Amino acid sequence: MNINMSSAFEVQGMEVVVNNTTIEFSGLLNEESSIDNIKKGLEQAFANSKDKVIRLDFSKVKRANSCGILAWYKILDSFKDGMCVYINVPRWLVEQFNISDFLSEKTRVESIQANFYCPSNDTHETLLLTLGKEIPILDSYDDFNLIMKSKDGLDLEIDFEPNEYFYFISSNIKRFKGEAA
Amino acid sequence: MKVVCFLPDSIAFQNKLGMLTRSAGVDFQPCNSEEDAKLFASKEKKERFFLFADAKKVDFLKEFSFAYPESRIIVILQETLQKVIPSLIECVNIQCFVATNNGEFDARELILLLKKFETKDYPGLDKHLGFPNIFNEKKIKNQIDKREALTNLEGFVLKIGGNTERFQQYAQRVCELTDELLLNAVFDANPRLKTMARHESFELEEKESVKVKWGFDGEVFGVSVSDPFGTLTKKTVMQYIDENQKTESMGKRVSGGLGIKLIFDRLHHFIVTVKPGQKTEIVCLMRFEKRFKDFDSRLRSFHFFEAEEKN
Repeated sequence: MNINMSSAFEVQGMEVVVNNTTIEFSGLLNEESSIDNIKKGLEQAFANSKDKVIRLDFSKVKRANSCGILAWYKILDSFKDGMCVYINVPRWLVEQFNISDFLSEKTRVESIQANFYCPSNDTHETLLLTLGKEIPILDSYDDFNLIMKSKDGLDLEIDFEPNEYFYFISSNIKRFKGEAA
Repeated sequence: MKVVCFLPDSIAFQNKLGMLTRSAGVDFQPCNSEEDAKLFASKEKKERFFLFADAKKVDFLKEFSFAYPESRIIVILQETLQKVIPSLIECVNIQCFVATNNGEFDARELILLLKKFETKDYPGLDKHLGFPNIFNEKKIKNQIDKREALTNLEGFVLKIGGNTERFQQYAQRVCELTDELLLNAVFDANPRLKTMARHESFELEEKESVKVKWGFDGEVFGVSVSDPFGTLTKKTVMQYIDENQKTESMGKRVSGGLGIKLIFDRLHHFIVTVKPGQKTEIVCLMRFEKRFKDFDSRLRSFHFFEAEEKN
């Protein structure tokens, strides 16, 4: 890892680690999260990126509240140039994608986390699904199903309502078809 | 207190409601037509009476609501509340939206609802959970208290579920919900802090302090948050739950709406009791279903009570 490309901003509520053009957030996104430090992280990642494309990983952010979500949206909105790609998106953030105009023309989604249930041993697992691979780009997920395997090789069933969980895709089908291509 | 029920398309619900209301000691009058219901209402105009009707009967509900403003209306939901809000938001005397799931009411909640109206007693979280149960409580006066309360709450839910993946997720949902309730109680409800930037640390005076309480009875988990202001209105809650706000621009938001949406997705019963100028208490109840899919697909109930003076 290039030391000049990597840095961490420890703040109350949330930690921001910039690793070249990927930013890893951890902790909580709430009213205690430092807007300035998040902005610094984004500025540094953009500075590291020749093509102005950066990757955002919120998978270690346990949860967020409306103050944090709104602050994040406004921070992102203040960056006029460049493209942000969400990777490893946790459930709470997928839900935000689905209830508002959270995703803009300047953002893409690469992969999201989803809940699965194992009926054989009554356990739950959270798996990473990639758009265009495990998640086909569809305008309706009425008939969608996906069987995955657990760590022990057992069948896992989806434990979410595909039409609701993938609404951010089906309601923006043109954009996502373009991205998948 | 009398109850008139107009559920002609759902006789099974009507029969069940009859059984439940009578068991709560309330006089129950089923009606077969809109005319019957109106006739009953015109005779009982001077008495306190309640109408149970299906959310799908939008025109009838609107007409009834405006013609009999002294009545209280309880709407039976067989679809999501969000779908009916735009049509019914202006009906001020619709007080409760009672969800049905798999053809059943939540009997305990329905009886409690009727008891509240009958006795004009509005008990808090304790009465919503069965026995045995353990309650935890925390008074919130500043950011440190809020953080501690959420940490304790998370620990409680994880302990219930033996720290499994399922309960780690439920703990997150419960904390997300409670976090929003606390934000609303600390900032939105308090005239002194309403316009304060949320990232500034807050310090509440004793008389402004907010209480959070939670418990589990083996079937239902409940959390309640109360503030000493009593300013929340039914219309405010309904506006924010309204599905049409999906199209509202994020950039235009200042707070509130986003929070109530977050709350509503993470519970099954949303019960608000307001004593104007004195107290708002929000009770949220949920069942930790085996599958998240089942948790998410349950229809949500919303009860709103404005505490009445006892005669």
